[in-house]
Amino acid sequence: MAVSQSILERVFAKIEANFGTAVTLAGANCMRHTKCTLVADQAYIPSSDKTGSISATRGKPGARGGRWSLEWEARPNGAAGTKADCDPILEAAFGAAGTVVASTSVTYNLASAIKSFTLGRYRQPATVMQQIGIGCVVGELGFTFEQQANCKFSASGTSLWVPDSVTFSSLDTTGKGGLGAFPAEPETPVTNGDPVNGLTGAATLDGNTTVQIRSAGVRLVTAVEIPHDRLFNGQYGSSPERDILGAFLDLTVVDEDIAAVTGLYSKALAGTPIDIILEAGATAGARIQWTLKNCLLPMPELDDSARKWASNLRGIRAYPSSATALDEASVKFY
Amino acid sequence: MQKFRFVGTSAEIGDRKLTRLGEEIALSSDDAKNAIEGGAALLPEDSFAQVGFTEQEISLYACPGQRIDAPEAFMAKLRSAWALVGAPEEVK
Repeated sequence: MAVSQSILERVFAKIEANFGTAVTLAGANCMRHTKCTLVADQAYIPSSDKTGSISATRGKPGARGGRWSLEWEARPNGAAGTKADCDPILEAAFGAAGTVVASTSVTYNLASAIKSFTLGRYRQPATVMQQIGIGCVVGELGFTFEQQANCKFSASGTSLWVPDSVTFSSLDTTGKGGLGAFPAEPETPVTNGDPVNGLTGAATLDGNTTVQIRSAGVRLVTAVEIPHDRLFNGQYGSSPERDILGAFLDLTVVDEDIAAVTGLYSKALAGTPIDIILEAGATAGARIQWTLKNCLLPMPELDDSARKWASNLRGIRAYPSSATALDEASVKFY
Repeated sequence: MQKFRFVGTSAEIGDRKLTRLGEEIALSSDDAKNAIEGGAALLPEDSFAQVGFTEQEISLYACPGQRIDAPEAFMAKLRSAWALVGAPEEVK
């Protein structure tokens, strides 16, 4: 008889060739993480018929689906031009593989394709329930720059199903993700890179680097979901679908009377878009840079919660250079 | 077993932690392929030698924090090392 300590957990992620068909996870697919949730959702379909009693009637199992979320510290590989461990999540979020420039950078640019990945979550000891998310799609990707903290990614979304080691044998082929047996935790996990923080790096707002930033948070809302909208399709959802993408930024800047700050207020009023670049890290191979283009700013909300007045610019939204450019947001490891 | 040298910032391969430039690790063929596919910045011994890091450079710039003001000559060697990373076919 054993319990599991919550720190004794590893996750592994790999892009799927076919939505919902589990891929074999290896030690090479390990990524460090701070928090992981994987939840199998099985709805019940209640009966609405009267029984002559005030008591409820038990429902029958309905649709099956899954939810997942991950938080992890941003860790560039350390060798510029080599993908970070979180590559599968970013590839799924952006809809395209990162563009590698050898010994220089890996950049994720947006594409309209929908990609899914298999997410393995293994706890210790191996005898407790282990889980795999199959057909995981990214609904939202976040990145935060905060004081006295490592920069962090967060991501969440839905999955086709979450098979586990306890109930695996009772699942049908779809629920098993095509696997014959529940896979054991991959041996020899490989993880790379040091975390980065915002103490080094720079923020460039509308070409100016003099604005003092207190905190920043990027949100990429992919609006990708697995629908349950088809009859005669079994309990599981069908192939993922998407809506209009949103690239957002929340910024808290120190309020000053310099042109770099007051210019933001003027451009918010005029509805004039600006480009924003946020980068963290100091050495080659260990830097991350977010670029958000054509950002429309909200009017500022003055904030006296600290000793110096600040200005909250919440819900800044980035837009593409043209209707099909898909260049409103990108992230570069370099 | 084949010898490799580390050219990244930090990596963990199973129980082994690598944190210094030029740090040596011996891996079986399967473990090496797994590590390189997993993004570990490893070069086979002979490839590392070809990059031409001097003993002084390896000592002075072993850790990433020491490389902020590193001379371009060293950074050029580091970039050429990074360009060689990620080739599992080099594993014997």
